[in-house]
Amino acid sequence: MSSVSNLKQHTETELLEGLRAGDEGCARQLVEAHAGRMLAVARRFLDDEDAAQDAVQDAFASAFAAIDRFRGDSALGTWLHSILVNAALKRVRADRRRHEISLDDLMPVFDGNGCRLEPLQGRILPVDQLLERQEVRDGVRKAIACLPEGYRAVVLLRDIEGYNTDEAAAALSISVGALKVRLHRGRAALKRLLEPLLEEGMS
Amino acid sequence: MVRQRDSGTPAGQVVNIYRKLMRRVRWVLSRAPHMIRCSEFEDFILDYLDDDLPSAEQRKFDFHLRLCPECRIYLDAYQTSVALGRAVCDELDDAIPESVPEDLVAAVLAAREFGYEGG
Repeated sequence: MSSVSNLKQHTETELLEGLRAGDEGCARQLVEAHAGRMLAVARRFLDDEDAAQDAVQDAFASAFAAIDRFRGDSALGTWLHSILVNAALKRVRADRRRHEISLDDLMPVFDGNGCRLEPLQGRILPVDQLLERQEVRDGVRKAIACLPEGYRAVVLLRDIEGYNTDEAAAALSISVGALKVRLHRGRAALKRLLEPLLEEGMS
Repeated sequence: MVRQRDSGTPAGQVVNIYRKLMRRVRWVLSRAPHMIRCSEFEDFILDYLDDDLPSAEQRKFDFHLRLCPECRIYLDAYQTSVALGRAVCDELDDAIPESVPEDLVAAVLAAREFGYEGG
């Protein structure tokens, strides 16, 4: 394998050519450039650090195997990201049975007549104002991490990764109906967990 | 359980009595034709946010929203939570990548050497 390629940073086109030719330096550059971000995303989906690292490893393995089919119509980073999400989802699916934590305590509450008992009473602060507070950003990260993996995956796919309902249902091998229930419950739980941070005059 | 804020103070008690009374009023109203309860409103939220509500349901939803301050606050907080989640995760995507365990890099490269094609 070429030792020269270890020394210089390749452009994306050169990197691709090198990868297709099986150049080890290019492979290392690809891994070092993208593994950090991929690991961070994998940790978002998976509670277990080993599972997150395994997902990154799976993703790179799939990427190396499929590098000839990468057409370059998106950036390499974007392509790797989507492979990583799929690799992480496989592990979420595999782990599904272990995570049957009930979200019931975090669901909205209604009285006997179906009228909402809403704990929040004041004005909800605008998003940009909330994001200025470090404690809010930390709180949101923590709240997402608190969701059971099966629900968190749905929220991440729909609200963060930008999948539509059908795509997200297919990616998780569940029905559209089941996906919608999980998405709504996941979001409702997130809202409940974030309540202490959202209101004007709180904190 | 639901937090009833300041229920210990006289002012808080008045607020809670008023809220209870208004729930009662809304419940009576919700039994009129073309009206929905908060629990039905809840079931429409997802489709409402996806612009997927049939027009009849959309009208019921909009009308309930105008009538019910509790659902207004709820929906606002729900949408704010979604937006916060998105913003915080996007922020992470833009952040400088954290350091990667060297043994992970080594494992990835070794797996490549042996032609492992992913799980």
